[in-house]
Amino acid sequence: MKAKKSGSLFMILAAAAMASVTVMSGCGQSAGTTKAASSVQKAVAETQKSTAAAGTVKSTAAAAAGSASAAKSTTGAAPAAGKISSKGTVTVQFWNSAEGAMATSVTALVDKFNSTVGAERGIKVESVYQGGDVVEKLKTLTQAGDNKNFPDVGQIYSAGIPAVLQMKPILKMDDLYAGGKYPVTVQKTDLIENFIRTYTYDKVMVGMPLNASSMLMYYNKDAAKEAGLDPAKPPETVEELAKWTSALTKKNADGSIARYGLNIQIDRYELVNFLMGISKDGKCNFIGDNEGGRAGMMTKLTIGEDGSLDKFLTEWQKVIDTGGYKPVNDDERGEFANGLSAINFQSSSQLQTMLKNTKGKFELGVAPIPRCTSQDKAGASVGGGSLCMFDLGDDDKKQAAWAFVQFMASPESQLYFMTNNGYLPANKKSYELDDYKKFVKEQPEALVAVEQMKKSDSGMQEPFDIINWELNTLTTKNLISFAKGEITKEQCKSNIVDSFNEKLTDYVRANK
Amino acid sequence: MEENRKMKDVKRFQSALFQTMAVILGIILLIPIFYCVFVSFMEPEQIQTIPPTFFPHRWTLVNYDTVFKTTPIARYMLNSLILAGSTSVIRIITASLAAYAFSFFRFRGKNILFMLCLGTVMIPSDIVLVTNYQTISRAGLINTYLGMMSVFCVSAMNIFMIRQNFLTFSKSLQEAAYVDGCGNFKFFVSILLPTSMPVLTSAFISSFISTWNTYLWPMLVTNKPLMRTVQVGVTMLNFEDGNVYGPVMAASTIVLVPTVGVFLLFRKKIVSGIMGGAVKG
Repeated sequence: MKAKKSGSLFMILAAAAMASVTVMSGCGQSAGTTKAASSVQKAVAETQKSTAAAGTVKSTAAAAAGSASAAKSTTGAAPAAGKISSKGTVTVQFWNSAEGAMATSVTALVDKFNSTVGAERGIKVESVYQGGDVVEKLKTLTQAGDNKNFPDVGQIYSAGIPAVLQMKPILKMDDLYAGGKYPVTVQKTDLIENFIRTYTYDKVMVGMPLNASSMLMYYNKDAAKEAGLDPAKPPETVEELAKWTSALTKKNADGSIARYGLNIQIDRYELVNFLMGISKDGKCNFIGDNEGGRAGMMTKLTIGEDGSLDKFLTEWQKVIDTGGYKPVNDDERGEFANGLSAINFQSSSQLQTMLKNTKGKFELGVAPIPRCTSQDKAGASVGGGSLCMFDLGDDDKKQAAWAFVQFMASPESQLYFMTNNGYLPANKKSYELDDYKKFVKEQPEALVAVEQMKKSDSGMQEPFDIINWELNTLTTKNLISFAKGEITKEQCKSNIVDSFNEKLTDYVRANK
Repeated sequence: MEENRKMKDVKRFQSALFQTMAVILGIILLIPIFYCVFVSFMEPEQIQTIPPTFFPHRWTLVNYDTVFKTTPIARYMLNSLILAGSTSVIRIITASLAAYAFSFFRFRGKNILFMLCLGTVMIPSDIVLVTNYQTISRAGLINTYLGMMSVFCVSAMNIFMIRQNFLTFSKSLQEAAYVDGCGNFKFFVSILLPTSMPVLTSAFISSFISTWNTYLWPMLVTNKPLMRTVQVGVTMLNFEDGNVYGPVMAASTIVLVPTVGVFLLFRKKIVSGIMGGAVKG
């Protein structure tokens, strides 16, 4: 018995020894792979030297910039034609939050960059998934004072722009354009104004639009026909939406609901979109003061005092009263695709997935989001992500990162996100490409978001409400309670506006 | 005699009642796990049918296929195994050594030290996240296994658990060992640890499962796709695109395998340890 026990003890010690070996080999392994990777890069760079002879204007300009940096380098050797650095391949760390279909597109475009422009100029982009929101990780790095582990490029949602502006290494797009140091392939004037504004704070453009989208209404055309509605004339106001919801709701014999007319959980994103069009002296509704935080720090929500939230909730009550509205998101998209609800609101970035998921089940209808009332403005805000650049002190890396950012904003890349996901190209030239014309001819649904964007005031943007997660929690919680009849309209309003303003005041006081 | 039989009947009845309760509780706890496993083998269309179904109509591996195609899950599993396996072993070593000092030695400030040690249990890990990150990044350990593991290497809970167990160890046995010329370390290694296998294994299992399930920290200190752990892999599958339950459940099932495996592997040790003590006692 004793022998057996000491035997098992030996096993544990042996396991410990093995584990420590694993630890060490683990560390060694990562170093080893880096070495191997860089030797692969070298080999690739070698083969590329011979193929990089094709000199475009772009690569000549790059060569000029490249030789400038080579003059600074200690080796003194000029980089090969078109290459950024004489020291070999420049690696660009690209942190992103791309999940699902977006991840597939990002990977495809990064691979394309690495095999074309990257190969030509000696750049390798390394794409790293960093959880749902890159900004969260960057905040931790900033708090820890760790600026050296920043990525060269990060995918930043518009709500994260105020946060990245506080970070030391941030390189603003406007400064990079004004600096004129690196070759430009996508001019600022090539970009659509709405999208520039999305990532602009106090008149300075911070991020380059990457994947821009806007909210759309998706509906089941077959169900509409069956309910005696005209599928070609989707609801344009919330009141009409209520009529559709009522008509599309299907009940079982026992009174339980077989198909909800409408399923939408109103979070911050949805609420902001519904409120933005509620016009005020011809201008759009900025949600908060200082143009929703774009002209300066937002210090309060204005949707309470200007009555826009009240107006929306009054209209929304009509939807709730139909009894066919499901206010909770269990799996909105999945349930819609399986005929458990007939109307759903999603970002345009879901268009391709929605088309795929509903194929063979029913005909998918796509429409602009309804206005609050017929007096209000039509349109939706631009949401989605941008690319922000960070300064790690290495000029070669900055130049390489800039080349990547320019590549992602090119007409072709922007169109790629549209045809594969449903994002709106931010580059005006994308809309002139033959591929674009061919695509919208084959898939007219994709035009809905484009038309909606054209109609939208460029001021219609998600606000920079700094502590946006608070607004999100408050909105979700209170609108669900409101829909279930647990709280009154007045309570719902004050729960959202007062609680949020209280928190925002604290934030402003601490950070001004 | 009659009385005796009655007593036996009552005991038997109580035992049966207890076991039925245990079985019912076990089933309640297991149902979600079985549902997860069954959903992972269902076709996407079946997952969302109303009313929901428990067993797959047609078994399919399509969800597993999606998981393996969209994420390098095998590599993530390896990373998690390295992380959870090594930290658990290190934890056992640090915890048992500390517990040995706290239970068998007398020294000044022992109780204060022990209280301080226990006090760390009350600090939520989120609060020290940034400072921990700072330490690791200054030590240049970003993107290394060591950086991922270091914060998990000592656990006050495990120290406490093992110390309590050591306190029950018979003092006369210890004295007998000393009389026979056994040194402190030898007593620890060849007498104390082997007789404490049950508590060591439970500490190992609990620490393995908790480190296996960590998400935030490993993600924070690594910036390379190949250094990621399984929990990050599961999150990556949590597509924004709808119809995701299948792949997520498939990934969760894959992720479950090692933890269940560790438990099954060491379960006998816990049970035999307890039984062994019972018979001897």
